[in-house]
Amino acid sequence: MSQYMLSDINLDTLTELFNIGIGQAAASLSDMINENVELSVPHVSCKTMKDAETEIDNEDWKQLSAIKQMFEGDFSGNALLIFPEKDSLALVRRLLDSDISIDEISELEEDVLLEVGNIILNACFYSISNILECKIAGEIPTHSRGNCRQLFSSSGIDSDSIILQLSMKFSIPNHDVHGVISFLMSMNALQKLISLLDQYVAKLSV
Amino acid sequence: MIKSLLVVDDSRVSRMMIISFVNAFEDGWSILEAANCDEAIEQAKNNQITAVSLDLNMPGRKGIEIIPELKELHPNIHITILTANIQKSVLTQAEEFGVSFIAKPITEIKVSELLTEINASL
Repeated sequence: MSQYMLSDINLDTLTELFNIGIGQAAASLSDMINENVELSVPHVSCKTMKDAETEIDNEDWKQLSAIKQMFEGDFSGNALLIFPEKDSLALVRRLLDSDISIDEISELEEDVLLEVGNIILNACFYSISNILECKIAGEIPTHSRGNCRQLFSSSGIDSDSIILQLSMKFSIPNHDVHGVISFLMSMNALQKLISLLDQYVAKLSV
Repeated sequence: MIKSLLVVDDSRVSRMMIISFVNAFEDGWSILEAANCDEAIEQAKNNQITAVSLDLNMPGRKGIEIIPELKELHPNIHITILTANIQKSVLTQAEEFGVSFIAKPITEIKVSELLTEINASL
């Protein structure tokens, strides 16, 4: 069972919070590349680490590129922005000046991806904390490569952690970029998030 | 005069939020809901609509695609795009279609301003 902890209305609320965060991040990316960034409808699910790994492995993306950022506050965990490596390279090329040589692109790739991760993950943190009226602060992001299992296990989170996973696609001119945002959280952290979501929905229902 | 607002958004919680703020600010609104563009057109065909709050990024057709149809069904309708997609290109599209634009997140102040704008246009 994949959605066992979150009610439909809580999942709907989280989807909307991520949607707002991603919308703001896409506007920043759009300003950077001077083009429209087309967004797909995001899909949020809550699953075990094993199920999340299986889902990403089934995409057959092979090598992955991820920006990781720990977050702390009213609830804590690890956030990962994961791209198939081919998509992350396409994104980097699009964000950098077209006159830059291949060697320079390789040198700058990590910096560019960290900046992209910083923009997207912090926009999600901000949206969640602003709307749920809670505190979450991101630490310094880091970049790594590997398969899904390696990325998750290197996050220092227990294997029984719950993954809150947002899947979406955004299109930049001539290229579709698939991206997954995974929030790795302990059961305790997830319970705190659920409690905040319940409080928020209760206020709307009055 | 009965005023009716059609709230088009695939997010149930967003619809709840808009409805709760509208009801808190002003009595007398009849509120209809649609979770996608097809439902919105169906509601617009079967009801008198004064104003629409329209999300853009929904499963199926994008909200922007149904603006001409909504205007054809109700020529005096007041349409406001209410979206998390705050890129300049979306603002430009809103201007081209002659509709208002409000960036999510939805807040009491934004809904209050929206109602003021709709009332002024009646």
